[in-house]
Amino acid sequence: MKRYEEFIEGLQQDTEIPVEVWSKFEKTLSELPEISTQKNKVTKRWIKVAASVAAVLAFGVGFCYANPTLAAKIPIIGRIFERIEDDVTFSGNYKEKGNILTAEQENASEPVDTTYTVKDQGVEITASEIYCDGYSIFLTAKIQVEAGGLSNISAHYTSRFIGEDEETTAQGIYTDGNWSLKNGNLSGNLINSDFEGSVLDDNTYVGMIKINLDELPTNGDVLNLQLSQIGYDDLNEADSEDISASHRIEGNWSLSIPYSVDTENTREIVVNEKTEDGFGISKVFVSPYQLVVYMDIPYTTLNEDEFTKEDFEAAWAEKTKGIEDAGESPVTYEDYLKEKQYEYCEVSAFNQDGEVLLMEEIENGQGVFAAKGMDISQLQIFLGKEVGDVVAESDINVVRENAILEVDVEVK
Amino acid sequence: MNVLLIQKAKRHDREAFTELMRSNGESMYKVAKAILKNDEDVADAMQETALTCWEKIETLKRDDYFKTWLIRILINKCNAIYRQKKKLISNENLPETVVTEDEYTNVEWLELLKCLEEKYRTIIILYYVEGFKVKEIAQILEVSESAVKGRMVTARKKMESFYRSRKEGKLI
Repeated sequence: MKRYEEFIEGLQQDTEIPVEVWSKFEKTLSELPEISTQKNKVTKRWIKVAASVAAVLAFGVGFCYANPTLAAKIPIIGRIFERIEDDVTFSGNYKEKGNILTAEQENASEPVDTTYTVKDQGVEITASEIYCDGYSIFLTAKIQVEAGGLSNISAHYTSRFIGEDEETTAQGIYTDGNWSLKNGNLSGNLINSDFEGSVLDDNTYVGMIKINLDELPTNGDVLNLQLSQIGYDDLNEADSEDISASHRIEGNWSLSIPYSVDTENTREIVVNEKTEDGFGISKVFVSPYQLVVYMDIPYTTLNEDEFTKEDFEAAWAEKTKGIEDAGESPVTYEDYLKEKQYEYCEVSAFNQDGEVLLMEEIENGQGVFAAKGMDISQLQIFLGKEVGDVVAESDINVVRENAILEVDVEVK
Repeated sequence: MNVLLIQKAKRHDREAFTELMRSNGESMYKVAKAILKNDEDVADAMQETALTCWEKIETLKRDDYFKTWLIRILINKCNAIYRQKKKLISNENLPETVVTEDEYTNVEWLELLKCLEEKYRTIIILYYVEGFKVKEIAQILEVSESAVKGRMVTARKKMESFYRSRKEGKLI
């Protein structure tokens, strides 16, 4: 064990970078190419966004102040999908499929039904519309922050590739908390679920959160959502170790929201193709908004002979203490033996026109792609065994050459 | 992490971007060296990474993910170079190396790391040297957190086994 610690300490020593490596690096940095086209596009986009926000503000604040009856004709609650559906990562036409939970009262920007409104710590959250394609729940909400400051939320790109598509951006609000289904046995945390949407004014944000159920229930249920924290990055307060830390609000916002599952516009297609060494695709799920590829990935588990409890304790003593100190449950030896050690595997997908789909995540053997309004009648899906073999590559021929498995799937 | 620099770099401020990359240069070298054999390849990977980051930095979703994003791009570049080289020398066997107790003190730590497979080397560097959290490494490598934890334990076991076999004068 001592040798291992020594080895790690050795690695942690400062490393002298060879002169020839550093020189090449410096030369590259001193000769960075012009990116005028993209810069212009970005600037244009920002002007477009800024101008439209400014226009809304000017119209909303100035004109509506003089004519309050007209203000009621710009509803927010009940029509959030319509406002943001083109700009979020999982973009598409939700407004015709989403279920409206509550609309706005006439002459007031308050919800008719306050069942889906919760307030804590100066933050009011109103759930607006909900849609479930079976794999994910897409929930919109209006978030009002009394203290303001939302105008400074930074935007990120949500288009497939910068410079190739019409560029879209969205503004995000991070969340922390948990979700569960009332009748189903599914639950999870919100680590990978944040709001994407847009800021309406310094106190008001509208956005959509996507919660992956991972399984494919066909019946509706009630989503119990418990948010314990919201936060965001500030475009201007840009010099702290953790920028979002300065804009986190802890509280308790709990909502119970019924939803139904759209089974008409979604398809689950069994594939069951495998390589000789066990890498495969069992099925795919296609909805108007996303593609999910279910992969078979070989795995191993440890046994007590090759990995004893003493080994575990020696390797994990320090980490376990750290995890416990942080108030979290550490991994136990018994759990560890059951843990599947998956081989590395990655996936990419193209439609019938050879257009690559935007991969959002690979987790638990499932690759999730954003459909982004793309027409999908046929899919070509590729698996790769080494990092970078098939992801981050838009040329289908390169992907085909690197892939260990190629599968064609008829969707329509 | 200097978020102001990242914000400026996202607006294609050359000075800010250069400073940002310089401040991450040593990390980049260590990670690339854990994957690639020689410094020439490492220099290529760092160069290509700098160029890609410069072109794509405005796509960075969260500023606090800058280093995760940078290292992920670097690892992709390293793997691409590794694959190219592997194709070129596909039939060439790597020479066996004998490391004896006497030579031990002269072996650079990063070279010693080469006794592990790439997937373990990268995780060791990212966790112990660069201080990434398990969750962040999972994001960089697109594997589950449990896989990262598992590889860390396996790496430790392999290193201990390596020490034992080295004492006995076995080949590595």
